[in-house]
Amino acid sequence: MSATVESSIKPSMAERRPSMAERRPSVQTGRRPSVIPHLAGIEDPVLPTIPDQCDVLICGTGLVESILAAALAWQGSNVLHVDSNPYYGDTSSTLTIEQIKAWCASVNRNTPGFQGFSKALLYIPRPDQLNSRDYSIDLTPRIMFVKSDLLSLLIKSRVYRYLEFQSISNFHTFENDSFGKMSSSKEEIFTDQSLSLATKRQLMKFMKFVLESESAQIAKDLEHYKSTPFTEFIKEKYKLTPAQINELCYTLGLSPTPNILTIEGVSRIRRYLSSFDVYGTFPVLYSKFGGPGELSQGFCRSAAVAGATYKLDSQLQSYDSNNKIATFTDGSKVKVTERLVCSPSQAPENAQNVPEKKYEVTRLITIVKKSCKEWFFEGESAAVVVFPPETLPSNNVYPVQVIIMGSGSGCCPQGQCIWYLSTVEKGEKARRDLEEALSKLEESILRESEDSGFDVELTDEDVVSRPDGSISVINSVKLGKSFKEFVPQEKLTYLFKLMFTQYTSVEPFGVVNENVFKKTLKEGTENSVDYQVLYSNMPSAEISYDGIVTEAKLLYSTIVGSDDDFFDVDFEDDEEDTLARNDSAIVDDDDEFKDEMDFEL
Amino acid sequence: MLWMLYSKKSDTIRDDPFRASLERRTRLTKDTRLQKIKKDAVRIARYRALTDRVLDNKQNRVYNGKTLAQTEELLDINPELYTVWNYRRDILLERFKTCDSDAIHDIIKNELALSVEHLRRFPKCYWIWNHRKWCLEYDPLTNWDAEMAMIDTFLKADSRNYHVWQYRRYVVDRMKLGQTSQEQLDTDLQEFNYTTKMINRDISNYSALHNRSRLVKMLFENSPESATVFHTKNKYEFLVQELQMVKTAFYTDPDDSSVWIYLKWLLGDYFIGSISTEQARQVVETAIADINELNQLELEDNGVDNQWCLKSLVFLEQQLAKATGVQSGRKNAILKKLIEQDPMRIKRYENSMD
Amino acid sequence: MTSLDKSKHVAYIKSLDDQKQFLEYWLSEHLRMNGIYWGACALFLMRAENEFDKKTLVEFILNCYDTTYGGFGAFPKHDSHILSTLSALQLLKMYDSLDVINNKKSQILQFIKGLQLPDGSFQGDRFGEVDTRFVYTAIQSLSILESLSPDIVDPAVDFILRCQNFDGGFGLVPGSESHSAQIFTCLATLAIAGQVDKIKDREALEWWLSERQVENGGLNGRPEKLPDRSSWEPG
Repeated sequence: MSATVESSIKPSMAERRPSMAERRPSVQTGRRPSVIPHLAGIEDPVLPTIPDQCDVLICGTGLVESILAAALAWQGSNVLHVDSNPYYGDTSSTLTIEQIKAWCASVNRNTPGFQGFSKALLYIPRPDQLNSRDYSIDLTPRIMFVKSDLLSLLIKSRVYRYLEFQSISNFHTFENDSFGKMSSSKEEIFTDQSLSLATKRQLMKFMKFVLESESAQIAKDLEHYKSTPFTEFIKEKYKLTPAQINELCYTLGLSPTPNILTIEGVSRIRRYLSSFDVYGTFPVLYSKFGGPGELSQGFCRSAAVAGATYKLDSQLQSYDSNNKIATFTDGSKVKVTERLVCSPSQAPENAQNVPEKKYEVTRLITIVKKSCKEWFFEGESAAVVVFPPETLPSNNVYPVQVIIMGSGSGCCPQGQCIWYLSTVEKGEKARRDLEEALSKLEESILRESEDSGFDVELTDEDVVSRPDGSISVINSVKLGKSFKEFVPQEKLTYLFKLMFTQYTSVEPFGVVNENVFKKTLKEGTENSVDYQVLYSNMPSAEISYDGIVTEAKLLYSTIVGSDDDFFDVDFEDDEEDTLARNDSAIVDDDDEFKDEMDFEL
Repeated sequence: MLWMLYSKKSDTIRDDPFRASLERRTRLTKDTRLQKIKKDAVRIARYRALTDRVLDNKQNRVYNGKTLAQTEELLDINPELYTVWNYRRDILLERFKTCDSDAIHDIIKNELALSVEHLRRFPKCYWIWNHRKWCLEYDPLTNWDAEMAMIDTFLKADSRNYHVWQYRRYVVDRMKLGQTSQEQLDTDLQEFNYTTKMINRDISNYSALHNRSRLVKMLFENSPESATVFHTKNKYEFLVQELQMVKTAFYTDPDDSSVWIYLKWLLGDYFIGSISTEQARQVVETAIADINELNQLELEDNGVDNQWCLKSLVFLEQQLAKATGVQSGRKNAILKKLIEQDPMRIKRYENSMD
Repeated sequence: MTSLDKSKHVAYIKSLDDQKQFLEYWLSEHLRMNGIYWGACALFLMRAENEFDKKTLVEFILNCYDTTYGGFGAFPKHDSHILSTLSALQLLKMYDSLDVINNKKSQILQFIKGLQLPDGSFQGDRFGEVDTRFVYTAIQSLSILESLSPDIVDPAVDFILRCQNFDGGFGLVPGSESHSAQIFTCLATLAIAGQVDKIKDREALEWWLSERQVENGGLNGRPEKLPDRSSWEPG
């Protein structure tokens, strides 16, 4: 980093992880160079002043807002994108330990105005053992299905080039006081010796049905089951066991609530199955070095390339809808010719129009001193664990969803691991569910790692074919044994524990509809500080990125009139002007992405 | 044409609140279009100039480091230019003349690394695979482990890539040339186990089943001592075990044609002809019973027979008759069902009628 | 039934050689000779073969003749290859112009016959790629030149027969997986040689081939693959 940049950034900015551009040199070795554009406030100095005028002002650099900024900038809008924080990402940011501390303090300060979070409890028993900048902690961690609108957008917009993706193959379910891994692929169903031939056939039939469920015929058949609970539907039609149904519904479907209806259940499982084996035998990806926060930055970079202006540390104070003038708390003003978009978390102090926050997500984030590699698939460093309803001693009504991030994810040092637990349960009950799930995870990892004789690093070789041609398969259940007779001899060291509640106007099944936006524009009085401000939403409880692009598109069409030209840009490579970059004539973008995914030769 | 549509729209709707952005869009699209046309013209000129330069040098037989680099540049853009691959090989052959085997190996190592880069982008390009084979022919010190690792990576990415499987068989054959006869047998056995692994990963992997069929034949012919079934040439025992796998497979997915074609081979003349009549009768009857049971389940669930079950039953009835010398009389009834349910192949069924 | 708009098809085929402003045109030089052959086939089917200017066509073909090795390349200055050689011969035959190569015939024959290897197979050019496609291409070329003889045909037939698999189909070389494209080239070779009766396990082959048609009516090249256009590019 150059001296001028260093000196121009505030102390709070100095406390940050290396940015994408710093982590990755502008020109990579190998044949696919990719230039990472600079981002004001990170590698470049922060703008000294706010410009006089812009077409669209966006307050908050959360993921939805960042996608919107990039889409508008590429459409030709003059975008000013600001954030009240000294970092990017807003409510979906990725933070260091010091930033988390400051964030907790501000959450608990109970300042007037909109509160997106509350009750942040932070516990750091050994501060000396935590080097703040070694950590990337997501406020709203998410995983990305391979077949998803966001991944398509990342590829189309070429933002994926600023990121690094890793896969997750292992999805564990807590059942009968132990963990099991679902047989969800054709391979697993075929080789799992614990399944009878009849069950194999039924499971495969169900999987095929789900994959074909978008066909007109099946969609029509499904109409009959419109109001049937999903669990009842599979029990009746496919004769599967309750444990299998739980796995389908909560682990493959990742449903955040119980009692989902058939159509919802089918589409959530389809999301998993259709993502499987697109780029390899895994359904889900996540971005290395942090989730939504990294993605937000990626889209901001893209917006910056298209001409958007960035300014951090800028809190909106009021908006004068008659003269279309936005004023910030430092007194600076900007004329907004078209629209002001604002995240509820960045609303002016006396805002009146902020969307109602009806729903809650309670999160528990811990850093443990264990690699937890026992839970990861060979070569991977993340996993998903689900506690279905009524599997915890607290008789949890809602499932507890857990994302496990090992050191290979670039989010914590070696020998450590971050566990993200969350539930849509509310209040004290939510905290109890999370604590109990945490202790089950603790028992499990101690048991697994203690039993050194049981090598859980499963590889392809687990399929044993004897010289005589017969085949036997070691079941790929990694967390198989029951807890009951287990007495841990060591204790797990927690380095960090953070619990907080997050509020949102988006329900757990997270699809935002456009009426939400039309409503915010109509409501309120002309004299209020936020009349005619277009509000986005706080992040939902959805564990995947689904719904994010939909919301960005809805905001986009609310501003532009339609989403026909949402990212309708031909991203030619301007970075290099040699013919060698003309792969576009030979391979399409998807292929190119696949190459980068699959091969590390 | 999109931008014209938009500009029209903004002309007619005077009060369009979105007019500003529509106009911007018009401007932007127009600009980028012009830019693109210009850029393309530049690219074509550059590509043609490069091609001309390379082909002229080729005609003049200019073999040096610079022309070698030029072929690389051109093949990077278009790996289908077989003429340029040829030229590249001529340059390399010229270079080999002054090299010892270590130096040749180093040059080829570089060629192989380059071709991996190409294959990452064009995994189905014949010319690149062929170039790789050509390289191995000239490499006195091939690292076979590295080759096999490279093949594994590509088959992991696409387990049905015809070219990769082809290359794998080629590499194994080449590798075996330098092995003792015991080592060769072990290699075949390893290859057989590899097909097991690939089939477990995906039972529809017909490429793996194909390779398995030829390895089984090879193993029965050459009988390695470490492999009991193959060593004792006990085809019956192998068949029983293999049929168990096939049964699991067709239960898992009754519509997977790969497995049914493989079953047809297992119960075809190669095996049936070399076990006892009693054994043949037993395996075929067991298979018929299993398939009938599966078809019954399919019938209950779907309301129709499973065509693969029926097709296989026809074949098995034929084999049973062959083994026992007695016609069961069931075959024609099954064929009649097939004629009704699969009219696309009606002629084949009619021809099979007794 | 909908009718075929012949004039549009003809115009489309003719326009294929008028795409010089696109980079793709230049990136496909290596396929030009084959491309023209397929285009000509389509024109012949529509009885519109005269839409190609015969003089220009013959000129182009002669420009692709490679004096160094004696065959035809796919484009001027490109090396001889058996694939482009067959396309060139087919085009000349279709446009009744074989006489323009009278003075080259012996070199062409030498080129083709020189590609045959001791096991009866053919390589595509001097760099050793062996494939049943090339056996067919060579035999077909020799047939057009009316120069087939048992010393060449019989080993080629033997080689083809060794390419048959457990499922009745044929592959690229002995041991290769069956593929519809390869079955075409192998059967065509046997047909030209008049030795189709030498196929073993005909029932299995018919079974395998008839199963290539999948539910939507399309044909696939191999089991459990997606239906594809008919081409001989194994995918």
